[in-house]
Amino acid sequence: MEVLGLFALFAALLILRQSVILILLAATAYVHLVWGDGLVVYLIEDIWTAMDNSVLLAIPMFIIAGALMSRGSIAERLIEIVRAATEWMPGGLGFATILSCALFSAISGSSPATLLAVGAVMYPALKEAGYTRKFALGSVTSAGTLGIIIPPSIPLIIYGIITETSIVDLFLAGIIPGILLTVALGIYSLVSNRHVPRTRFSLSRLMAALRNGIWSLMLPVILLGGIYSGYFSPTEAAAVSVGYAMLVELLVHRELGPRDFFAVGLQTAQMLGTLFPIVAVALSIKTILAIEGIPQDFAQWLQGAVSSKIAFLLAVNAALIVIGCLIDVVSAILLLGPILFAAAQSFGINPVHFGIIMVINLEIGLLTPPVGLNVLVAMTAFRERFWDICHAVLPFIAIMFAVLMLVTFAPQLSLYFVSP
Amino acid sequence: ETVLKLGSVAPSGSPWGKWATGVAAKIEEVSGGELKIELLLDAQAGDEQTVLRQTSKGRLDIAFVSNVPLTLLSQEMAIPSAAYLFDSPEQGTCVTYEHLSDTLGGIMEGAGVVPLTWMEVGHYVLFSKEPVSSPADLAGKKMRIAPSIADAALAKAWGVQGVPMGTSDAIPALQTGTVDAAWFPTLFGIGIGTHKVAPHVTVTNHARLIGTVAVSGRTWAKLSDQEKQWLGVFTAAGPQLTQGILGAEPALLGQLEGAGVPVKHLSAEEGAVWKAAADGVLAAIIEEAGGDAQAVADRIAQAKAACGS
Amino acid sequence: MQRYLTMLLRVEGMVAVTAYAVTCGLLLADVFAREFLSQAIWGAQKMAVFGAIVAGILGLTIAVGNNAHLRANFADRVLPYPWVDRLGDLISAILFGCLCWYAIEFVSESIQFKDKAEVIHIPLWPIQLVFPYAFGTAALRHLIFFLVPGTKPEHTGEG
Ligand code: NA
Ligand code: NA
Repeated sequence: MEVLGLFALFAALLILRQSVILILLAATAYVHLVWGDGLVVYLIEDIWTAMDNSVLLAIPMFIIAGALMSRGSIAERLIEIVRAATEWMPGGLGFATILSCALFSAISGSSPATLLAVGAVMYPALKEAGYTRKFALGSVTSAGTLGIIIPPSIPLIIYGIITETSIVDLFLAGIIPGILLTVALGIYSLVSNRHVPRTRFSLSRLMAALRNGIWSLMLPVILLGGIYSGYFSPTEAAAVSVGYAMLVELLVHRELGPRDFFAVGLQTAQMLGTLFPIVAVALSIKTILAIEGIPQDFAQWLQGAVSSKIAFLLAVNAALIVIGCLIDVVSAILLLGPILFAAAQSFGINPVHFGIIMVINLEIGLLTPPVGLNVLVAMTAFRERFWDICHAVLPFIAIMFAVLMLVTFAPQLSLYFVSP
Repeated sequence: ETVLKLGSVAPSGSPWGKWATGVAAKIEEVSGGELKIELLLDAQAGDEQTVLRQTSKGRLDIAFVSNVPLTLLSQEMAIPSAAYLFDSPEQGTCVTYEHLSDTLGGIMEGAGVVPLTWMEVGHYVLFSKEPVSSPADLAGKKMRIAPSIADAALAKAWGVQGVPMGTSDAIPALQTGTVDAAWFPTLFGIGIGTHKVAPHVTVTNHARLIGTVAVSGRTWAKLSDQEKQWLGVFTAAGPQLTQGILGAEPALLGQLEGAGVPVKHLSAEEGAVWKAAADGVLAAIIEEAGGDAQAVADRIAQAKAACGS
Repeated sequence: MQRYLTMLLRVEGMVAVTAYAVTCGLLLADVFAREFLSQAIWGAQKMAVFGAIVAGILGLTIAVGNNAHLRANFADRVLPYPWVDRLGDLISAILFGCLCWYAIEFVSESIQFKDKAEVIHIPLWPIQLVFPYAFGTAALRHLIFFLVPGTKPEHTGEG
């Protein structure tokens, strides 16, 4: 009956042409009233708690940096460098996109940040170079998820803290699966784009692009170098990109003025105003699930229902894919990490290996509707339709799922670098 | 039957998680199932600050948190974790369990929570990338500190540059070298593998982090006298947790040493150098905290005298 | 009315952009101070988070003003009449009004319990006021769209 009420509310608001945010907020309020403590004020509190989080700071900063770069000419010049370097190869630019995401993932612990930082340059580049819009969207949105499996990784840190598993071991364990995913996605983009028109390699074009784009090229160098040598954290790197982009566009390229900065800031605020409440709703649902003890019940049921290690691993993968559709990665780890961890140990599964399995699963969840953070971020940043992106990432999800199976049943891929 | 929701960030497999699980089972037993504690461990109900905030407002019934978020209720809560506050672990235990409720209970009740017992988090040790044997070795280095006045005061006194950041940022920051060292409660620091990125462990035991089990004032008002009495199981079980944690610290450090991690134990003289360098930390915290901080510190001093060294 | 709405949008936009400028400035200043002056700026990151919250929540009402919120339009065929748009605005106004009400309750609890920011220990409620403000003006905007449909801009979002 109560579930019917929820569906009725959804349908009614949809027919009455309400915005997605209002529908989600109203539905969550309904959940608080019916299954929670009956107090809607908790919904507002959860929005606050979700937003009062320094991890999210990187998102507006990278959106601003991306918008500045494409409004000015940093992005354009970077694109020309990448195209000049890769367009002679079959599917070269597609491969370069995947590789750029992997490279950025090695400094960023967050998937939306990876998507935004790389997508600002590569998404328009791919479209200009004749790749399909579908591939362009799918590749940056999916390869952006590498941010959380290639170390450093915020979800792996959280998993390490709450299960008392060494974070350093988790980071080491993420290396090979991360490379595998990169290679698999890279091969796919080479093969699927082998017919995209190529140009002959021209050294003079590349040199001209480099000369023209030296200031643009310095941005990734500063970002990677700054983080690797410990000058700033990945979140701070986002602010450094904004600062650098402003300086270069203002002093070197001289194509932007104060009016442009204002427009970019405003546009970003509006984007996040449409995005953050959705993230907050996921947190609110997580809190209700936790307080109602649903994860415990689920884990108990799971342990009773399966008896072999293989069945358990398959069941966990299936369950995490489903939960990854509904809630965000960190919430899912907090809710299910410790409980599934305990069950996994009873089947003799290595805790580090299990952490990697969880994170790859939830990485796929970043691409699945309705709460697929990377899809939502791509939608806001690239101004594309939600369902178009969901459709575009499908082949990538299939590849990631294949790698997930490999990693699940070949523990040595995760544990190779980990000290016993 | 009454069900009370307890929130904590403690991992369910940790000594704190196991202790809370045991206490909850005991309460269910002594109350014949009339009073149940539903445990929301593993940060399921949010970070420590969120747990405490939701407890004071009655969304959760019991908070099981360290005194770091308690300083949000009142900055005086930072005082019990001042470096070198106690002369010995025994004195610290005595002051905590015999006298702290009189000293700090009023402040907490004023902020909407009723303390049941204090919680042991344990002693701080230092994890660094390079060997450290005296505070002078820290000169020019960067130290990850918790964003608290107690940590900031100590970093200043030891002449190291304190870089405040959240727990989850600490490991990557040590890896990339944004910071050179960090201090953590022993069990927690080793649990998350800090020694694998900052392999030199110096057993400074320079401060002791405590926490609390506290009931929401809104919940407390609704409980019967009988139910309040059953909750006394928490109060009675507090010292066992302390015993367990303080016992586990040397054992765990021993394991690290056995595995070849360089663990530096300080001799009495070396320890005295570290302590002397931290002189004035308490005064700095009192000044920074303001409010009743001086009175709280005075009462802790009296309690120390009453407990003996 | 139209002029009033445009002006409000501009003011909110300026506040949001300023908030982002503060956020970015604080993060950069913190890096600079730490690396070159050996001194962290106490609470810089916390203040930066607050800047992003203010900008993001103002963004919510700005998006209402520009009619830029995501909307799934596949169900529009069920009631294909022009008056549904207008009714929808009335309902949005009511829903945002309710959210505003709960946001006021949220802020007053925050005042009552003296909720403070970690690290910098300032009261949270002045920052949290942006919630009732944003929900309230969002409700007001939808109400005006309902009363004077001509003031509603063309939809600019995707979805
Ligand atoms: Na990463
Ligand atoms: Na998802």
